[in-house]
Amino acid sequence: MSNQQEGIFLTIIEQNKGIIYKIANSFKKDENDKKDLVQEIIFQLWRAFPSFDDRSKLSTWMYRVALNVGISSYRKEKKKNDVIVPLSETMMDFSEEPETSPETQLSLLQQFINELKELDRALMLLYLEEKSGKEIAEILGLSEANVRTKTNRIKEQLKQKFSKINA
Amino acid sequence: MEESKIKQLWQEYDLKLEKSLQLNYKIIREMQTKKIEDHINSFRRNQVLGVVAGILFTVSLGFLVINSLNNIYFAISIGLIALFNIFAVASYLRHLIMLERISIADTITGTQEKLAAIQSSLNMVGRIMILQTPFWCTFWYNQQLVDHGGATFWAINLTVLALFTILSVYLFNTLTYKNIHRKWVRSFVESFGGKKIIKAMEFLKEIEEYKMEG
Repeated sequence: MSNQQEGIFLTIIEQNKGIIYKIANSFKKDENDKKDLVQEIIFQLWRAFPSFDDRSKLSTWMYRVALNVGISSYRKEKKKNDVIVPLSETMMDFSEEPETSPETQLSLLQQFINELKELDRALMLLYLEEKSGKEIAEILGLSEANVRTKTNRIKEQLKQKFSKINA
Repeated sequence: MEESKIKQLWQEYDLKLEKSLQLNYKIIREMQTKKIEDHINSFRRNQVLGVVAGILFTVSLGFLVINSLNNIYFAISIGLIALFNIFAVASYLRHLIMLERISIADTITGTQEKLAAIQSSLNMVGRIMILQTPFWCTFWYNQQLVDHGGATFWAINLTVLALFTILSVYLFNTLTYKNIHRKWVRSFVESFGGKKIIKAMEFLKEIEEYKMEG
């Protein structure tokens, strides 16, 4: 990767660090596993970056890679003492820990998302990121009608879960 | 909770992350020089190992066959066992080619479906390998045994051979995904390291249904 490409790549990662973290947070429970997944997503993005072309939107490409890595990693059984990277530092750190009090509604929302099946989870993340139905369909490889139906079904589930808790 | 409230909650989360997440540029740059464990490619590594081990084993069997052509029973049995192993090596090579063709930047259902299909096809390889079992019962036959083994000896041996043949054909037909709901089938596949294969088969089914819903 040339210096110019590296600069572009780092800018993309900087601009999308939130979604990378959110995907890692949705597919891993343990803090160390999250860090490992963040690392793997960035690694796969870096590897795939030279082959990115303008046929798809940058965000579509990025979500596809990140979610594919997230789902694959989630599906792979974690071995005991599996040290993923021989690096002494992590790629993404918090300057201050985000509030993760279990009482907050955000924690509940995250918990609900994490309870969904992998593909539904990916869909919900994209929906919450305000991606259009068309782009969600392109990322997931589904029809727009299918995306609409599924989004409505999951939204309904979420609403019901929140109502039960708030009742 | 209303939809707008859920989205607002998510946006607040986004802002919080934006402020608190710090990228470690130094480490990202180090990716280019340090070897990072790659989950996506760990399956590929196992396939390469399978190919190497399979080739070594098959070549050894081929060597045995060539050097024992005077014992037709041994040569045919080991030759057929070698053919089964050639099939396994070919399957592993096919998996590697298929893996090469998978793009991680493809659609989620597309990529995951292909990955799961490759993994679950290992079940087919395993089932076909079971069919070689009867030949492990015949490789030690020789002309002298055939001529002088006696009726009792052959009655016992052919019964054992028939049992292994029936058993291997039965297992070949039964150890499929459609029978995975049967407890012993699941346990059998799992005990031979097929836990991931079962998961892959289940995920494959899930993706197929997922694409059809809606």
